[in-house]
Amino acid sequence: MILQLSEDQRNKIALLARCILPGAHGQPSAAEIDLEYAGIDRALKSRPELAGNFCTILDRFDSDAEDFLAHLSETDFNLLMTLICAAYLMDSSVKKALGYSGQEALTPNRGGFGAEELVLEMMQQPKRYRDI
Amino acid sequence: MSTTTTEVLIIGAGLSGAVAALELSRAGIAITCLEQGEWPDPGAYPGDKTDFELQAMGPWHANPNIRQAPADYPILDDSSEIKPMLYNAVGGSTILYSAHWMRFQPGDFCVRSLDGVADDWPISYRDLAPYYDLNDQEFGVSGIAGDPAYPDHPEYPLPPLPIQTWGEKVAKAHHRLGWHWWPGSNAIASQPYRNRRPCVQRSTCRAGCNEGAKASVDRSHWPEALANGVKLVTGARVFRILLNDKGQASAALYRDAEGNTQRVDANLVLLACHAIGSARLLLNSANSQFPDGLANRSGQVGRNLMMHPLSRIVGFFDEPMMSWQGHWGQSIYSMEFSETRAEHDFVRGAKWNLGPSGGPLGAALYPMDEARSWGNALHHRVNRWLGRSAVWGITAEDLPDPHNRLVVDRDHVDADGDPTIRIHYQVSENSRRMLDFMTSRAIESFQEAGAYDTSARRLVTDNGWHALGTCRMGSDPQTSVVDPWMRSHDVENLYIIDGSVFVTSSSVNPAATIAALARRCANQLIKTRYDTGVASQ
Ligand SMILES: Cc1cc2nc3c(=O)[nH]c(=O)nc-3n(C[C@H](O)[C@H](O)[C@H](O)COP(=O)(O)OP(=O)(O)OC[C@H]3O[C@@H](n4cnc5c(N)ncnc54)[C@H](O)[C@@H]3O)c2cc1C
Ligand code: SF4
Repeated sequence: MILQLSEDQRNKIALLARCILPGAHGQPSAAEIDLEYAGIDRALKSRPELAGNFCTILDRFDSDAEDFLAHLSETDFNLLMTLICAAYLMDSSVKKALGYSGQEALTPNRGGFGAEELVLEMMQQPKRYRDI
Repeated sequence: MSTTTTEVLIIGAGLSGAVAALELSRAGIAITCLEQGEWPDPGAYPGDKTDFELQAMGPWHANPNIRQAPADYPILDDSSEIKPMLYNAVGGSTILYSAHWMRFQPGDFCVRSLDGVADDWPISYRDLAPYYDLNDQEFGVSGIAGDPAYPDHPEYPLPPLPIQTWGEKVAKAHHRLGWHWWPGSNAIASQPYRNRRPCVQRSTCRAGCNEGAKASVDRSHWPEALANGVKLVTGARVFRILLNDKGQASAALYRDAEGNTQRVDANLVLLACHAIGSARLLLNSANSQFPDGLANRSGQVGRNLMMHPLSRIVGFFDEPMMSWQGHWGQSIYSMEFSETRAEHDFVRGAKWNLGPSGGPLGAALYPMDEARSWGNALHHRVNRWLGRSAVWGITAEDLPDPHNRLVVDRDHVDADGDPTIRIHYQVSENSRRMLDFMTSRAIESFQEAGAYDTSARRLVTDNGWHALGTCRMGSDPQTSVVDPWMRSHDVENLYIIDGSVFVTSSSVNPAATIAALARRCANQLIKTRYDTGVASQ
């Protein structure tokens, strides 16, 4: 069962996400994607067990995102970052901007493994293990 | 309670249990295997799903305390500097392992003679070599023979996987530095092999291999073992091994998936529950004859836990290398610093393995030295990591210390109400000095390879993948738990066949040695079938 976030909680997610992930380095800002709705719902669907603590953290947030992030406990900071970053990084426009197409099935080059000549040289070296 | 009977009972269907089951079943021996987990469902592996990284940090985490799946038992780790990692299912920890497939070096078996520390094994590289060779075929290892860090051995059945751009850069750097390197040997198919498809380089091996390219024993061993008639019972957590009046292991009690107690009577019991699970079961099986734990007259059950302290060094390159792809096994490895050297302020050494660096969420959350980052700094961190970095993982040979140990904690119980286990483990000064040295050298390695920056974690604590040593092998029953054939000194028809029996840990990944030991033990049982001190029913 996915926990339904309130509008207030979604507004808080939006505020925090804009601070964590502004537009920069060719990347869209969290404000430009649907992070506080579809994005966070997708992340929470994947990790529903985090929803309770996530909401508790959100409920403590007022309005100063920088200050809030700086003073969160290590555990709460990690949880918040995990869900907000995941919501952002799973977005297709973000992935496109990163040039990241996800973990893909590729056909490896079967012509060789690379650095073959150096392996042959290493093979000529004296044995280097010890024994009794 | 129902009772069934078998000739050989194997407890645990992970790496060592599967290897022994297959070998014994080929000789026509009747086997029952009890496994607390279930069959893994490859369709559920998250590697081919968009939320892979998020899943790998939770339900697919290698730490059972984080994962908290129904098959897991709690392992109390607040007194341990390194956190345990394992998997409980048919296939055991091989479901999540990276499949780096490494033999011990010959000197790893005789560190007392060579370096005056710890103990020698009562067996040598030569005793295990035939089983390493056989298992290379069975596991379909990709690699190339001829590494000067090892004695000669037959060619691997499959050619190496691509060492990738980062592997070539670092190989060339080591060539210039005069340092050892070698293409990674991995139990991952580089070409179609038996029932396995070739690796597609998706880099999600640590959460199950969707392709079936990785030799996890649920695929590489169990299908044939089952076809040979082995009875594998899943959802069966053994909580006690019973002795008969001759002091022989005669039965195991387990709780089935519904929580009912069941019993299996057996002539011979092989314990294959992982170094943590086996010690736990022995300690929980204490009785009037063995008040400190079954087969524990030596007091060594649970002691000498070795966990392979690890450093991780990331090298950042300008060139895009798509380094989120690539087998999670090793691209290349280096044994340059695996042996003791007079000029070092530590004994023994470390194994280095180079690999890809994963996706963007891992990059965003990776614990760097810097303070918390968000905003522009976070984008910067992801941009320079994603596709443009490679990782040296450096495994220190951990020396046995009796204070590093597992103890039963009767105040905490698993889902069945049985006492769980607590780890007491501290990283030694020797390991710390070693990892400091290795970290500095790994930075040099990356710099020589053209990295413009590096980031080092000198001690990674969430990496107890290689728990070893908790039922050590030896010739002396006063100081060891099993003999050189892995037969318990105290209970003549009880064998411990998993990573518990390691006397020392080497610096290399243990799976190849665990598998070789299990196969050697099974072979010996076949040869001496009527001379094993079997329990009479
Ligand atoms: C994430 C990860 C990565 C790794 N990478 C590598 C690598 O690249 N190379 C390498 O060499 N090694 C690697 N390892 C280590 C390797 O996988 C293990 O050393 C090896 O699988 C241990 O074999 P085992 O038979 O001792 O235990 P396991 O394979 O863990 O099997 C033990 C089985 O026993 C079952 N069991 C336990 N207790 C009970 C009980 N009471 N009743 C019934 N069943 C029970 C468990 O459920 C489990 O299935 C890795 C491990 C992990 C977790
Ligand atoms: S990289 Fe290869 S071995 Fe790893 S999960 Fe993908 S196909 Fe399997």
